[in-house]
Amino acid sequence: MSVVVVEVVGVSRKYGNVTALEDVSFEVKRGEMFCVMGPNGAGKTTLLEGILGLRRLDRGTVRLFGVEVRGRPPFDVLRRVGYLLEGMNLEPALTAWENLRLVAAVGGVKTSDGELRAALETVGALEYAKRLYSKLSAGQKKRVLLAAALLGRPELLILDEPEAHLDVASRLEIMNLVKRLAAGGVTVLFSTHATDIAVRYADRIAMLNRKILAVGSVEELVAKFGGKWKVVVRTKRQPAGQERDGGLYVTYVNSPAEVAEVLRDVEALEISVHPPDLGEVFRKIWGS
Amino acid sequence: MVKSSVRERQVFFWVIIFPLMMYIIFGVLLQGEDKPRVAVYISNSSTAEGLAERLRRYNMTVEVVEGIDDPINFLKKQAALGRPAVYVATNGNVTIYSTSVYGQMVEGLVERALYFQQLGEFHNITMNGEFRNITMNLLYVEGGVMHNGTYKIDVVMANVSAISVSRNGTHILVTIPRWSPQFGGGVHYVDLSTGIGSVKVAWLVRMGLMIGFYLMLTVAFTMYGLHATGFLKRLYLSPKSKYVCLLAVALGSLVLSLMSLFTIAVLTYLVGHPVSVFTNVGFLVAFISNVMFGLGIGLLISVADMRLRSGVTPPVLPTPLFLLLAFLSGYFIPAELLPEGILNVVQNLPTYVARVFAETAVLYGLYDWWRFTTAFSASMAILVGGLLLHPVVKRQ
Repeated sequence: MSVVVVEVVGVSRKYGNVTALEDVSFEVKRGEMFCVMGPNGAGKTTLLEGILGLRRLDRGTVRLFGVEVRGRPPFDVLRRVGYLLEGMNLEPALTAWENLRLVAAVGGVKTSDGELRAALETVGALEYAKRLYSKLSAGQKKRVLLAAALLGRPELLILDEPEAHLDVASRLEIMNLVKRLAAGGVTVLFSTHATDIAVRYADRIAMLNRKILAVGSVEELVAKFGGKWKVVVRTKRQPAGQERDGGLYVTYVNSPAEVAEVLRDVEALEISVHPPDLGEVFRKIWGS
Repeated sequence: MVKSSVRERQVFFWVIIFPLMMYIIFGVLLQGEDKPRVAVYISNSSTAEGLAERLRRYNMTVEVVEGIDDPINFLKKQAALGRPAVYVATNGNVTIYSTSVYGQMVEGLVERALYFQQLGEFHNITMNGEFRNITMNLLYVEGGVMHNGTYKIDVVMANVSAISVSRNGTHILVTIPRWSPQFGGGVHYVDLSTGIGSVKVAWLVRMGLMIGFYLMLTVAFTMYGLHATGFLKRLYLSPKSKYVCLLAVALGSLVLSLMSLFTIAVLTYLVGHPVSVFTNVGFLVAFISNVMFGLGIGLLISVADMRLRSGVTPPVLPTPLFLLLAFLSGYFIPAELLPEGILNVVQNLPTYVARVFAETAVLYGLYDWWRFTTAFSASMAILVGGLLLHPVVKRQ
């Protein structure tokens, strides 16, 4: 069984004279939570929908579960994929439960009532299963959409900005939910333009702006593009070579592994370690 | 789709409320027709009084007169005086001459009256209570001799419509049913027994057909709705074939049309009119033709919308196109009022042919299958074209 679930090689797409994607390549490994991050218009939707065959790709190859797909993936592959794409919604005049039944029927997924209930329970939407979709809040709708994506117990979830159009609390709830699904063994390929979401939830990030600018874990990106981890220490006396920041002493390291080395001879009363200012890192990458 | 649509107020309006509004508005406009103010003259004969008595039950002014040598001239003179009239000649056969649109109604009532007259004379006639499309065995008297035979009513209409009679100023609408017992054949009967007139029957036919035709709206808007909810993407990724998905959409729309039709049929029944219009074979096949035509056009509009505008907002074309075609096909006004050049063109529209076919089938029991089959085939071709061309989802 392939370790690589999604393989994108040299994918390009133009809309007239506008280049949407240029020679994009990356891999998503099994069980990984992989983020395609980029500003609006970076080509995220074109890429995700291109992988599913919903958009034509001018060049390049896409493989899902080791199977090369051109256009619509074969159903054997598709039934292993759950998706929540741009503009995707459900019938407002149907209940959450009825909508899931409809989605299952259209998707050719045979589901029992128990499986529907399980999908809604997984996303915490069981309590409003019988309510009309139009009567749900934005966060609740997103949960039901996620439940729809989970029908058929997919191994891969493709989510286009799953946290979009939600308030701060709801977007974290949704992403925590996605994270739990990933922890349960589901491979997640999602897109976002929100730096905080990418950093907080992705195992690896592909930074996209028509072409891939960088791919890696947060640590790898930081290491490559020069961000530093901030170590704040409260101690009785100032360690040598460290800045003073209010009543505390501050030092910067390249990775968390170096923190122990810094503190070896320090009699610390309190220590806090802060990730690099990723905004700065990303600004560098976009700038490059 | 049906469940979803029923819960949507807009759909509820268009499917249920709108047809009911049309029914009520036109019902009010045509309400006087149930009590026709038309003078009926019946030539004196052994059956005249019986006929007159029966026609009077429908609030008609009936007068039994001595035989009139030149009925057409007689009625022309009446018309010139502003008195539309019907003359029923009963010399063996029954011939009905009319300058009124009520001529067809009188004809239906006369047939019914004659039938009951026969029934009253011969109590041993076995009937199942229906007049339509059955062969009736009965005893009848002709030339003083009792016969045992098969009964047939054949209706032959002059090839002019009421509106052209009114327009060309002759004021002669000649309805000539040949009332003669014949062996063999079936029964062609226009059931006007509860007093429903031809104009109202025609309106019911047109409204029913329009409901089928109205599919073009529902399909195009449904496709937009599916696009707006991202459902087209799900359809594209569905293992089911494109045609199954499109036909499912079509079936949903068809069910909505049938719901509309059923609503009208129930109301028609409740207000005391026969719903036989909706069970007439001619009406049903015309309805199917209009459904196919509307569905095909709806799909083609959806195709054009996706190709030209990516289908991001509701298509604007269906409503004006529906109104235009319905107007030109004679659903709102008599098509005869159109200029001849336009009429020559539009009378080839499948919706036009379907209307004419259904009306003549319901009103007169006449079926021009050859012409209708051509229109039916055209509707089917448009539907197939819509299905073949529709991409379900536009791959950008």
